[in-house]
Amino acid sequence: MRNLKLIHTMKYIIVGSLLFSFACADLAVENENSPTTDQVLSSPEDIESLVQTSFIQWWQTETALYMNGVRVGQDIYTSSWGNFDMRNRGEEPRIAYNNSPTADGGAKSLAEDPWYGFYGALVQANDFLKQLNERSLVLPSQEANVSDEDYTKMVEAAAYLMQGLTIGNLGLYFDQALIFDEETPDEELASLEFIPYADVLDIADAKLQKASDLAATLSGVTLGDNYISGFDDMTMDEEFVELINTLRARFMVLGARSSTENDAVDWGTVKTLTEDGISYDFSPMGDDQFWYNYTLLYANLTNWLRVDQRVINLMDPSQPSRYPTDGSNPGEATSDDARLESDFIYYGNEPFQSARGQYYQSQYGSGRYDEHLFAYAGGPMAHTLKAENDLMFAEAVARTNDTGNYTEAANRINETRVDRGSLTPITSADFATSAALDAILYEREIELFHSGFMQDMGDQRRLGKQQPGSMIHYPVPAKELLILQKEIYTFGGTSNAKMKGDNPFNTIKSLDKLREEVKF
Amino acid sequence: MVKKLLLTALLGLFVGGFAYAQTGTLTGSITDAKTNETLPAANILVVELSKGTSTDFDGNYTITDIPVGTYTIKALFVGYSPIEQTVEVTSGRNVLNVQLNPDTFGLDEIVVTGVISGTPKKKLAFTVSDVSAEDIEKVPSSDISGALQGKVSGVKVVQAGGTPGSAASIRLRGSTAIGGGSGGDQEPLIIVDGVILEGTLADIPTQNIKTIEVLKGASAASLYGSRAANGVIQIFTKRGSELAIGKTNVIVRNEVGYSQLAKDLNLAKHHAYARTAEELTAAGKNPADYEMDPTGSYMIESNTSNPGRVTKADGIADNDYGTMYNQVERVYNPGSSINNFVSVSRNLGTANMSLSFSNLQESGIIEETDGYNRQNVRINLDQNIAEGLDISASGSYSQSSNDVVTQGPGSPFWGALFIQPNIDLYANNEEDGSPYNVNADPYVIEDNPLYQLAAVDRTRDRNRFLGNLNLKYRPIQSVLLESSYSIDRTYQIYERWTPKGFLSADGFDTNVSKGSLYRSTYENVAQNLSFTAGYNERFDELTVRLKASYLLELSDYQSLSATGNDFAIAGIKSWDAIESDGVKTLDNYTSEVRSENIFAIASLDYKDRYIADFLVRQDGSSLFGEDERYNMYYRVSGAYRLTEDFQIDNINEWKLRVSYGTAGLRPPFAAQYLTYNVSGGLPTKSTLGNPNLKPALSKELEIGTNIEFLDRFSFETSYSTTTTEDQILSVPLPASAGGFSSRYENAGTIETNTFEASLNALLISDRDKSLSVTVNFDRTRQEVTQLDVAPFFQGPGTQNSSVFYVAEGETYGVMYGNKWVTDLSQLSTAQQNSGTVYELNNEGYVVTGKGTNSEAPVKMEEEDGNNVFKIGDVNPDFNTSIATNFDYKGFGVYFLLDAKIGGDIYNQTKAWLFREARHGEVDQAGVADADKKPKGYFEAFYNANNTSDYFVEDGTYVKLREVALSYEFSKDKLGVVGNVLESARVSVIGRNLLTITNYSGFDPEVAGTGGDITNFAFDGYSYPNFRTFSASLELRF
Repeated sequence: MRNLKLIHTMKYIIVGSLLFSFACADLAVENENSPTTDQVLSSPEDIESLVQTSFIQWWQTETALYMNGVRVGQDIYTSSWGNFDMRNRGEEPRIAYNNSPTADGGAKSLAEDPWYGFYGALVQANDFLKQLNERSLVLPSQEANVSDEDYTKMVEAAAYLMQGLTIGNLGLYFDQALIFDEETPDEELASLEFIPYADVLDIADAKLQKASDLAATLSGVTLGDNYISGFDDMTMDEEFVELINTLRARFMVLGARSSTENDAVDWGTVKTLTEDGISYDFSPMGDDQFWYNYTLLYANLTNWLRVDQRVINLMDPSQPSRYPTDGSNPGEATSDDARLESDFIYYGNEPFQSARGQYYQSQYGSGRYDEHLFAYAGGPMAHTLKAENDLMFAEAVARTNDTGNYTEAANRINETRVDRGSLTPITSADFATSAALDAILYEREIELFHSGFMQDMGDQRRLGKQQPGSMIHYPVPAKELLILQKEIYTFGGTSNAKMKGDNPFNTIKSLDKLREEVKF
Repeated sequence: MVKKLLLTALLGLFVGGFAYAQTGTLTGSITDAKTNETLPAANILVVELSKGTSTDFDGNYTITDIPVGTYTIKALFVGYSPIEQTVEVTSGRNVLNVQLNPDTFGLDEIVVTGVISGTPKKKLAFTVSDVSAEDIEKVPSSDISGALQGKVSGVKVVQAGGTPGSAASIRLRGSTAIGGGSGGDQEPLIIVDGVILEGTLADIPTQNIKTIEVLKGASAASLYGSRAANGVIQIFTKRGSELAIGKTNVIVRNEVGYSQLAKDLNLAKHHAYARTAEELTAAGKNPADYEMDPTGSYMIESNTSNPGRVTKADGIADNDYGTMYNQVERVYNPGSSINNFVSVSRNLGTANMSLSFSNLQESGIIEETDGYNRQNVRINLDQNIAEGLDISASGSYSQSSNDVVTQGPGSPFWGALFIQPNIDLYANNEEDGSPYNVNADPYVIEDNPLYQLAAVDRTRDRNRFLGNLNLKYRPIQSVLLESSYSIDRTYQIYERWTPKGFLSADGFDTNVSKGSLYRSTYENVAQNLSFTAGYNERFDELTVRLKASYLLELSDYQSLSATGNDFAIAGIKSWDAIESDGVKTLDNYTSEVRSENIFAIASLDYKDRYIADFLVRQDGSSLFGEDERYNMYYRVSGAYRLTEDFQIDNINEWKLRVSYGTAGLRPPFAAQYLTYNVSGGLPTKSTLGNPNLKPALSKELEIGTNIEFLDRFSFETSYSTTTTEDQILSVPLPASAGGFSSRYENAGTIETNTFEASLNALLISDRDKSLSVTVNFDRTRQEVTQLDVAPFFQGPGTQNSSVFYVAEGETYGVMYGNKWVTDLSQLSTAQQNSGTVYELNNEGYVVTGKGTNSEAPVKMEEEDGNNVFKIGDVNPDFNTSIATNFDYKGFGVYFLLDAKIGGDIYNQTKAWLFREARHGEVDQAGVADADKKPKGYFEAFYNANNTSDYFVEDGTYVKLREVALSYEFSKDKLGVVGNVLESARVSVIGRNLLTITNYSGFDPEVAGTGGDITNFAFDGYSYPNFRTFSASLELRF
């Protein structure tokens, strides 16, 4: 009988658990690690955060490690390590950039990181503006004494700034780009055509103007918290507008790809803009979370990157401009410029394998932003220094022969030339000769060293200082060209034979199918 | 509908009563049908009553109290084919004498994996390979993956390295998942005592395994549906039921071992730096500015804190070091292993149990590390509750602790080979007096590996519970209802503690860190619940078996990790000790998987010779996109036992078989979802969701035959061809796609085929001696036949390790990279017209600057500038193994030879040693002057760590993988001890004793430390496999 009872119990257990199992077989599971689009855009604060994230993405893209390869390729820094394509970029004579889906990750990063990074930031700004327009949003003000309407305008202006900065950076870095904004209809996204860099920069300028025009109306309003680290109190109608003026001038100057294009820059407008440009260093503060600068970190490590011998020669002309290839050591430099001591470090050794090319060697490292390294990504990170604005102004004065401004221009040059460099002052008389322009360009090399995105590469190419075969800009990444089924191309190299002609990777038939399925 | 039917069937079948009447006794003997010898300790059972006994010393048995009636009687004994016969039991004494036939070929061995129910091997319509306890126990492996190595054809087991506590990777036949990692890897589904494993194999000891059954592909594994495209391995541990009824068995086994690196590496013993004033002068330096370094090896600058040294003008590495240490010997320290095992088993007839405990300690072979230790307890219980109703429980708990050594670039394995031989790694730090001078070699970018090992604590502790409860109810003989619940829970804690004051080298200087503490934990709980109804009936000459089953799978994963940087207080492993402005970060991840699957299977057996099998399964899983929630699988197979119809001389049994089946591979958890990356509370777009994401679908056709001949040979061969389509790959999206960078798509197909064969020979078999030999052979080919994404490189994930190229129409497992010109005719037009002088050197390479200090090889270039070519293929021509077992009067000799013929390895370890001028080939001492090469020549081959054919090496090897010599003292030889002991066996065991290979690295059995280990034959500073000698004593009570 005991057995019978047991059997009955078992029966209920089996049937009960069977029913239980059917009841819970719901196969829809949420991914709790990631919000849904609805969650991301559920509140006005969330929508505002699109712009805040845009700033972070923009910053992290400008300062990512691929920039080490770019700088080595412009004889700013030198390094023979294979990382970030540094060795290939630094090779002499110059070789083509390997724009291929099968290139190693370091090489790929030089095209892919800025491409997808800046577009990522652009999309965030676009998404915000779309939401703003579609929902006619008014964001709740997070600032005391600022109305909701003004606060919303502040965020809107910040979004236009991001559009301008990201599109402008694409125009500085690449030969061409796809441009879209909040008003581009979704169905047109899949059939966008590339437009050349000059047009890209024009669009960026228009976006920046839009940001500036809106900001100018915001008296008594400051940039909100969590936009730009260290600039929470930036006044919209003054400092923000000044920044945009400087940035617009910067894109105009640095966008030139050759001395011919440099001559064609509208220097008059550059002068006007820089007259009302920044009167402060635009150097966001490192917070070790979002705001850090990997290129500064690496540049300050003893054996990763060294300052190119070309830069040492600028300060001490008795030094060779290319590291000697006969095995000799150029030794320690001496200079009238105090910044050789304050901004650079003499190591007195050769860190790289000589067999890779003696021209990779350097005895010098950079040290001006050492605190960034030692505070582990803390401290101000130079982006656009006041000096850059001053030097653009001075250069515009020199190039437009604006005699009335010679004294003002000389003063601005001397602010760093004399104050930091302890060099002899430039006078208005120097504008009659090439001395003033030479001093401006020298200041740009030394004072602006390792500041701002593309400042150094921009100067090298527009002034024709590059080695033959250097990159004047980067191609659209092969990955993107493949997806869009465009022919892969590249730049650089004294012969530039590589990667030309038929590309075997252009024949992936099934990509059509994918494009059809994935509506973008 | 099926669910309802099942429910109704279950409910209906429980209605019934039980009656008892008069009883009788069954008695008789069990003997060998050939020799008529009696068989003691054979088991005899009344199946319907789950009642039985075993024969006594004279082979006699008696079962009492059997209610009068007709019963199925089953007799079984190890090594004999079991028999079943129907007996009428009357009141009083009934006599039944049983004769059992020896089962030479194991044809009557029952397999249960992938089939409807226990099926003898001779009636299988597809391949189910098995490995028995006998094969495993001679040289017990620390985990299951090792137990399969070299023992089954078509099974690739790659022990990527010797890291204690790491399981090997297993691949059955060809690859099914390209882009390993995104859509999963090649690992088969593994089931242990009914528990579907979700975690590592490393937690499961092998000493209590009874048998391992292996289904190699979809043609056999369809029963396991969307998880089975990589095949299935099912493991059964020992149970008390295997003992004679009434018997208790105690086993105590202890093994002590000694491990050592099996091979030294060819490292340079000379350098290329100036040692003399003449050499300094020749290099353009003033000898007055230099002095000899403290080790007497090379001249260094005097009067500076950063003394440079000078490469000789000729750049040739032929100068002596003033002091020589063997750094490999100093870092690789021989270690020990201890393996204890105790088991107690008992069979009471209606109940049985088996308890076991094992303890494993493996120190590994790296100085300053403790290695791995694991304790495991297992309990298996079976109980007959009532007539026809049985309950079984299996539980296993293990805990392990591992002193983790990092691998790859920057790890101690790097430093151990980079640091020059003149450096004393044992010197103390001048900074704080702590052991092992961190910047011992300022001319090498690596820190002293011993300092890193001693200073940083990395530990991984893991707990694992596996449990299964199974209830079987047989209301009538032809019907079986079964319910099973299982759970696999893993909890792991990983901790990395860098103490405050930790030093790192920076040339001649050191940096001091404030330390950090990182800890990550995860818990994974996987539960399965299944209900099965089976029906067996024999209609005259046709046996019909039907089964329907429902399986619910639930899996939950949660992880949490935290980091704190910059301790305010030294010596404390707590985040509370982190400075107020130190950095603390947190991260967590959760995933949940729910699946429900139903299947039905039918098996027909006509006249014991025509066998057909049909299966259909539907899987629903939360891992599939919402519009593809349910997927179907099926299998059709048939076999024909030729020798049942035709008598063929000397052929004992011949079977032909064919099977076609489908199975799947589930997408990884996050693949189907639209995701954002969220960092610091701010979201950015990541992947676009795909509601149409399907599991990858594998279709396999297998044809094969099994022949047993000349009474002593058994041969099995199969050819299988597998197509796995709908590969789950991350497809990149353009920048204009609204910010989403990629989407998971079903975007590729891989086709593979495998030919496999195994031959078993029982050459000698009599009372005193036996000799058996098993030979396995397999050959696999694999090709990517369709790829809807751009061709890509993949690899184990360490720096510059993406060597393996995936492209449509290309073999899966090929390497692409630069090639070096070896014939002047290979130069491109541009190279020929460049004005550079090219010459062939004595090593067969075309070089520039031949005979000078700038001699350098030339990279091959096509006219269009392309310089990337196919340089290697990891796929071996074939694999083969031979296992031999010889026993003579208690003496036993066993060995396993394992060979991989062909298949390339990319030796990045060697490449990096070229950069550092540390490889033996760079050493030019003793080379004829005319043939000497400068170190720059070798650095050029390093190629900035870009892949080149110079470092592709043939990975062919023949390995003496396992050797065991043993002697067994039987009860009668033990004298008085025999009163207590049943038997005692002493063994001397060797693992990886000898490897014959031309491969220049530590061991040709090497793979990357991540990703698809079975395809990533990549040598990049991982923990090398090592050799172990051990002795064991096994006592049976």
